[in-house]
Amino acid sequence: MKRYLPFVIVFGVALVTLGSGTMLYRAKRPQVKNIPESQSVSAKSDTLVHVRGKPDAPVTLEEFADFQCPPCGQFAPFAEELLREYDSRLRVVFRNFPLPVHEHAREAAMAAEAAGFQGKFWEMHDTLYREQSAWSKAPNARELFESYAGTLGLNLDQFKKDVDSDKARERVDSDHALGDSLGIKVTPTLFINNRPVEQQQKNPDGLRAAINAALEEKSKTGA
Amino acid sequence: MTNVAFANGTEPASSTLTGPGLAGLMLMTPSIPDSAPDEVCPAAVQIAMTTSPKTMNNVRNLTAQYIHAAWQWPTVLKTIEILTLLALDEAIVASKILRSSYK
Repeated sequence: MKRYLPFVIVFGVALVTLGSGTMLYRAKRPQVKNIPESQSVSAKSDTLVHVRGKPDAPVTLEEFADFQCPPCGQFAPFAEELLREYDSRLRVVFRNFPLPVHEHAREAAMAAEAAGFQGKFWEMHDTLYREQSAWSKAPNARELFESYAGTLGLNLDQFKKDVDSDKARERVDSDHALGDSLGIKVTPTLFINNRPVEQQQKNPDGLRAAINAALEEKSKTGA
Repeated sequence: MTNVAFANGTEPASSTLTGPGLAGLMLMTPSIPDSAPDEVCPAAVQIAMTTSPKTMNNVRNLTAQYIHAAWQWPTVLKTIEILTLLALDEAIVASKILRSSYK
């Protein structure tokens, strides 16, 4: 019996190693949940969320993004391209998820919300991404945001008040809280019809394939 | 030139020598990235690991304690081995008795 003891020990150690390895892998892998039906855009008033495209499009591409994040800036023009390509079959929803590692991200999100109060959210969204490299490194980004607001023809006094308002803060915080509850750890994090887009699908072909699959699913269910 | 495997496919590459005295030693790049990929912004930047002086002191004390107790280890291990063998033998004997009683 003694001669089997080393094998038993080796087997035991291998089993423990395999188990802890699996646990570690599962713990390190970010788990993003589906957006619950109660939090989905269709179930809410559209005035609370920023939607681009046909409001009743069958496919919703929801993005949790940070205005100071360069990959989010790269994704923005591609989202527009997708909207043109899919026309009435796709809508894009923007959610604020400013990361604490980016100095001006939260302020930028508040500026976009403030512009939204005057009906120019998407115009400010596009400007912020286009000018990202300029304001990201600026010591006083607020001045630049105000200059963008002026360029967009916003009421500047109102904009200045709105940037610091509780209403803008609440909107940013509410999006962020939703992102946190879904387990979001990186930006951009994308959802197609409330389901998270896998990392390997975050490329033009992968996203088109995911949108096509969602369209097909919708046509099958007849919704 | 040779092909090097990366996470997203293979690429032609040449081996890099670290210096004339270390000829033949290659610098290797892990094929599977261990940090967030470049096309996303992570929520937190990984900072260098820091340890408090108190923790370091505790580790030092535990190490010292372990070294002092090290001479006892062969006895402890031997005892564990004997107990395990005894338990296994007992189990075998018990199974033999059970088998014979059923015959």
